[in-house]
Amino acid sequence: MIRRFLAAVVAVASLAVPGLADDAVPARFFIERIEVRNAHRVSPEIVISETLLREGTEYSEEELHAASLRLSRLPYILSAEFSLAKGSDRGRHILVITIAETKPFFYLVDTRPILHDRTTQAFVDYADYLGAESNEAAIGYRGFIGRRGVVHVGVTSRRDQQIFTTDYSAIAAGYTRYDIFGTHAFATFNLRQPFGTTASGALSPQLVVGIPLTLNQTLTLDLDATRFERSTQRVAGPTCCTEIQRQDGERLVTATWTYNTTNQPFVPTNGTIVRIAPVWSKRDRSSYSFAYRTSPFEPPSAFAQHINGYGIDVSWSRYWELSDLHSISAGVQTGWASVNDRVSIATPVKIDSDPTYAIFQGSYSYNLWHGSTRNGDSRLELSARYVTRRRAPIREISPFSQRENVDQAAVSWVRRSSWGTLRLGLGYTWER
Amino acid sequence: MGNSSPRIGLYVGALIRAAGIVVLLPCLAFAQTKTTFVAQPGRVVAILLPATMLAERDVQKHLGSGLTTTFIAVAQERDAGGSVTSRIEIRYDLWDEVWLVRRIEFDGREDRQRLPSRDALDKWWRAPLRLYSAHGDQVSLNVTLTVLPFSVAEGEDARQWISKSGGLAAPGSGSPLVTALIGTTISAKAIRSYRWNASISFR
Repeated sequence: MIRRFLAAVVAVASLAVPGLADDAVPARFFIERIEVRNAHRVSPEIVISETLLREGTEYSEEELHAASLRLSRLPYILSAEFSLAKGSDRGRHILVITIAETKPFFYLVDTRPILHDRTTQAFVDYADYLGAESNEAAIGYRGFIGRRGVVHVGVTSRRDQQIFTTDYSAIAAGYTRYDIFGTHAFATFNLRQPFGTTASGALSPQLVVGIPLTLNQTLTLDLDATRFERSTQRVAGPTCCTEIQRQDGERLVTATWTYNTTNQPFVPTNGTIVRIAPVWSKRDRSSYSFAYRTSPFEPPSAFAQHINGYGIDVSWSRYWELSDLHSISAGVQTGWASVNDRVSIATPVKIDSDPTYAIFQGSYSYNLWHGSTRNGDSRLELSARYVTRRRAPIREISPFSQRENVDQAAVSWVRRSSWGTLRLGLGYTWER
Repeated sequence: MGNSSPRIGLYVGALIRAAGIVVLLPCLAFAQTKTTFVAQPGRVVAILLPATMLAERDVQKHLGSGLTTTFIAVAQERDAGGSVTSRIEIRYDLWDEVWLVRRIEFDGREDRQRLPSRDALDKWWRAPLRLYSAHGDQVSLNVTLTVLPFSVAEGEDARQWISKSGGLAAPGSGSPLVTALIGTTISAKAIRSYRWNASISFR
């Protein structure tokens, strides 16, 4: 009797254990179809492509969550909600993605005047969080063409922490093609007109090619050929006029590996961004100078400058959402470069240097938004950073390096909506 | 610095005038859902969650998504640094038409079940969720309940990372800051949040 009872217990247990074991295993879902809802302007094909999910494949919740975060980081999607529906057969599912789109006209205003303790002048910093892409548009229009194309016009900016590359703003018009040959790769071709520098720029091409390696990793290659100036000027001489060409251009190649698990493109509150970006730049300037003339009747001297530089930027930032009210972050960005500067005016001058920099940053942000996150959010941010730069040694001039150490604190208000992102604030800098 | 600077110069006077325009309005309001706290043997505080919480629009919508909905309860003793976390996970299996539920209480006690109906889910939900073990005869707690989409299992790597950074062997020990980070770091945007204050006497 007892033996029978024990056998029954074992039998029941053997039936029960697999059930429990199945529940203990993280769920996986066979996705036979992906459906995008609420897509009015955004192409559903682009949304599906950007999830990196493929129909007819099994995914875990972790992978689906990573895909939803990936969509949330797209600048033209405000939020993406995932749900499942029954598929054609048992165990098969339809993944339903309900998106909230941003407006076709958009802005990214990120202005924080930074006051300085030694000057009355203040500077406005843009895209000031570590790991920020340097080509983010400030204002513009985005339209979807066909199933996988996007055209855009707007004002973009290019800036980084390296001293041998040129920072500038440009009016840009371009086209992005997603999911090239079904590989999830994308390519953007831009024509840009720089402005804001001392000279008026000429139309310059830019090509950005990117391929997602995993749900969180992307490799991009950015090729810029920027012409800041190209003009012919007539300079009065003893007899008549001398025509002098003025040219200023930069070729820049940047390869970037990015690991990104953050939940938003511009105001992340959770996740990690790691960026490793080797950069190579070649800038050529030719002009003229009157400085070396011995008499006013002499023609001006030709001036030429060639700057060759290569370096690497590495940044790491991590955001923790402690609750839906509080979020903190920590980050570090560092870079090294080797710069060869050749100036040819009367006599050639060669200046080589190996500048480095490091930025350490911490921030706290408080959620001011009480509405649905589908409509955006609003936060108050407090941030502090320490910046150290070593500008030399300039080997031909001095064996000693120059250091600059700066502390910075800032407070800002951030509002993200379907129209764009607005960050307004105020900062203060102390020089050590 | 650099070959050209793109920065726009502003002067302090203009800046101070502009600063006056910026008005910050902190206006966040947490959902106020009534709940009950009960004292249990061993000076344990438990919470009775109302079934209406599952019927709220955003929560209900996600419960029907076929994906896991996670409820994280963080209890923190007022005027004390540490906090402890309890967790409930609910997923509706579309094909088996059962609710797969899991409850992990503050001390690691786990309850995992397959519930055949929504009524059974509501009944299971109403069972007390043990939140905190008090040291004295009276305890005052701040309790936050956050509703998250997806399972938090994928957030374990973050928790482990923080744990290693803090030199902790297991969650719940070590510095209060790291414990708080481990207990409350969440990896998805919350669907809903609730906050309560409770004073419980064991006498």
